[in-house]
Amino acid sequence: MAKKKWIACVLILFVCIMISGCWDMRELQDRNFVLAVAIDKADDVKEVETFVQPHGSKRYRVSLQILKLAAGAEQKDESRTFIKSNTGESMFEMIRDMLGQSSKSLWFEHLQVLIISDAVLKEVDLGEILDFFKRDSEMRSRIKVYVTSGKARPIIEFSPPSKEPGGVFLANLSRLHLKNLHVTASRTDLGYTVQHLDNKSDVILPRIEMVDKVVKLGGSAVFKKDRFIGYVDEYAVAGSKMMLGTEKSAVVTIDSPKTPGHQIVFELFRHDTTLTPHVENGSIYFTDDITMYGNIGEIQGDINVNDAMDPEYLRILEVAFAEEIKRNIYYTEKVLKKEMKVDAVGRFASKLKAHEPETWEQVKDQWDELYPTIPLYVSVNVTIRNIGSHK
Amino acid sequence: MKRLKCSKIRKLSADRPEASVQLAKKELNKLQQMTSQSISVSDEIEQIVADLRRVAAPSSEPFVFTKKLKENRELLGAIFKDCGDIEFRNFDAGGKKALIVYLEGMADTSNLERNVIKPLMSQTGPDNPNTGNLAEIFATMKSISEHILGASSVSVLTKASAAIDAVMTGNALLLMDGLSEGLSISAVKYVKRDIGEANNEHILRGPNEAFNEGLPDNIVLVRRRSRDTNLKVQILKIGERTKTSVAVLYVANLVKPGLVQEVERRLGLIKTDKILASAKIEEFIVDHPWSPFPQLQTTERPDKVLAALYEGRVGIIVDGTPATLLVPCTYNVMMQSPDDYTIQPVISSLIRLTRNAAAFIAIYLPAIYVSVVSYHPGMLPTTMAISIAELRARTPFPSFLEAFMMEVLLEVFQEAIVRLPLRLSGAATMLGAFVVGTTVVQAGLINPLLVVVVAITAISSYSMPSYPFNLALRWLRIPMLMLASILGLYGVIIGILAVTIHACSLRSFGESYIGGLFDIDLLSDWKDGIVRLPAKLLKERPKEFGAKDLTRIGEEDG
Repeated sequence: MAKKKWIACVLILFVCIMISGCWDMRELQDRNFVLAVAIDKADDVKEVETFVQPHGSKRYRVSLQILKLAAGAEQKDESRTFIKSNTGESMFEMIRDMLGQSSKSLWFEHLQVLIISDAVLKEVDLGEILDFFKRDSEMRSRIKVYVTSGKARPIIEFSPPSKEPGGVFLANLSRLHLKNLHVTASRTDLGYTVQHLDNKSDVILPRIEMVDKVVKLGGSAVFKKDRFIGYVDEYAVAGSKMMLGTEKSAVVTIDSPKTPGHQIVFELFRHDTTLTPHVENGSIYFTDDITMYGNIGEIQGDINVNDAMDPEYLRILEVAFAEEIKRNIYYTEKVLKKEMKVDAVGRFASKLKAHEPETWEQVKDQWDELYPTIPLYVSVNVTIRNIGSHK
Repeated sequence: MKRLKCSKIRKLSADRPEASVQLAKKELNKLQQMTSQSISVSDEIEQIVADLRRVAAPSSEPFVFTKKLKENRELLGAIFKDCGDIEFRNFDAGGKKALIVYLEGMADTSNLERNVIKPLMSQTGPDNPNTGNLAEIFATMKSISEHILGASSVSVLTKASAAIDAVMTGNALLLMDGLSEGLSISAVKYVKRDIGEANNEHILRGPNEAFNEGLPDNIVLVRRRSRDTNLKVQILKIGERTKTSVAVLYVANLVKPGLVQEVERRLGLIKTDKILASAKIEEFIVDHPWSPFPQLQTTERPDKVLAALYEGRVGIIVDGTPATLLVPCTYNVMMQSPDDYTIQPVISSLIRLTRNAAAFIAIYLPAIYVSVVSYHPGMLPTTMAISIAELRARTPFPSFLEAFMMEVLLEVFQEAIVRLPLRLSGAATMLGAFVVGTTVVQAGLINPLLVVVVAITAISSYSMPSYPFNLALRWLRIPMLMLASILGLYGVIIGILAVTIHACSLRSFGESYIGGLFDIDLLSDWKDGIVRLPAKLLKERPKEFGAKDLTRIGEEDG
């Protein structure tokens, strides 16, 4: 009897495993790696690609960049990816419909990049576009989201000369954003962006452009909450990064004090930035204390005149660099805060909330009106550590 | 088809009735009956003969020695009937008839000639000092052995069973006319292997003597390494027919109280006719015979045995097997090699950590590969996922089948190389390398990454210091693979849990198999567990084995 029970238990277990097992088994090579997604306005609706919608309109063209699986062999002068695209209104419906163009399942777990054309963003809010990507369980939080002023599809059609798969190449463009002041990439991937949208913060996204087989990141697209309002240039991006201390290294140029018309370059390698909110008798202001350490990176002009060995001249240079950095930050403040009235990714709001919670409780409902009027006082202190020359 | 009709051809039985099948069957039946009858008759005859042969003797004894040598000889002859290698040597000692019985090839004849036969025969010689009181001397076996024999080890036997036993172990049995007792003279000398190098547990620095098949030699190998009177050897006999000697070794003032008794109790419970290898004893005395894990440590190295004895463990040496058993045994013990103590502590710690990692890899790596490739490729870094997908683009089979085929292939190769004669195993190795390394991959049956995975797995399992443990890892790989292929990583985790729980629930003579790794009470044991501290710091014996005296170094350690 005991033996029979034992056998029955084993059988039940076996049947459970056999029936419930393998339900989501799909071999790696039977999946289509979607590496990049481009979202454009649907201007040319091709009959074959698309489908009949019961309601709505053909609003978007979604293009997917899919990896070609060639068994190990190097392809010559050929892209490692191919593009499938579709038009419609619901992202999900378009992507499901694209299975009609694909022999394997479309698989988004290694999606790298999402590129959105600003033509779409001028008509539709960002949250609406990102909604499918934030809901779907296959999407990762670390997907990079870029905005382009042209069409998005050509960018994912671009095959990098380095023979990387296009999506990986595009995602890795922003990898060194800590060293490049011109790229806004800290807290701008899909996970953070969705978080900012949920927090009702203003979003900024990196801008990507492609002209004649040159793809480049630089500057950023600025959103008021999730409504696209325009671009800011690299100089403003650099200022915002230095203001918030989101860079690890940077290059700052000034006009040489002794030989005007030539540049001297400061290479930052360590900084200590604290953005602090203060509340004094009912008025709020922010102070930004920046301490920077770095090297002389380059001297254009006569080095006998621009003598880096001279300690006094170094002091002059330090002050000049500090002035330049301050000017840069104030430029950013002018562009982003005063003109666009944007608290980029809610940094100032979160600082105030963290440091002065009672004040935040009072002002959070009028924050959008209040924010552009809050003054920011910047003090910069630069120390030059190495000069890279000898006598 | 048209049936051929031919009047000429008929059945043979129609022509000759005595050739019919029925008749033949009848005859055969008769024959069978007769044979069975004859068998029963012969059984009866045997019974009668046995009854006739029976002498008045207690039920446990085959017979009782009488005072007449002739009768004794006949009784022994009946026992040793048809044993061609038994020698009966009659001679004359001090005017009495004497008989020496021994097994040819097991007894040292030159020793017998020199120390037994010659002194006994010379008792009648003219220049013998004992001539006056010969009768006195020959009154008992004891006095004979005390006054005449030059053999070192003798014992007086009154029971026939003991005498037969003595002959069968290779001793010589001396019987005299007029004495109803025998004298067993120990002069065993049989053919055996010399002490050789440890083949299976060779180490780089340190002793490399290994046990051979002779029990006395093996005991000597352990004894020789320690002049400690507390090292005790108890010899038992196991096996109804073979009566194999089994020695239980322990250090009396260290071993955990009750452990030796428990070992002897379990050994006493063994009911079998023959013991050919110590593995059989192992199977009888382990706590969980269904577990794949080895629950006794086996070794062929005397130094390992001695080290274990001084940790308060018990050794079991079985006659006829070099593999000696050590109890209790834990995972920690399995993962240690004597080489760990001959190299620098830091290096040996690193090697031990590597070994533990290798044990994990040896079980779970193929399962993890299968589950990641067919269920969760999203867990891989993108570039790696892409390169794996490109490698697998040509392979026709699902990853589970692929891995399973590869496993089968690996097992077959291992088995082939173990079983083949030495001269052929090189060829098999080469073939394996060709087949697996190149052809299978080029044929597109299996992707190169899997070959790497399986190779790493195999090498990891080879790195185990104990061969039975390596086998356990090999065996566990297959169920893990199944789980991974059915339930993905979820299944692998279930498998890891199951294996860990099983290993934690195993008990080896009361000690937890793997629990010592996590038991904070055994903190001092961790110094010589997954890492090894320098010898100066290893002042305590392992608490785990419950030695009576825990300090290795100090005043109180006798």
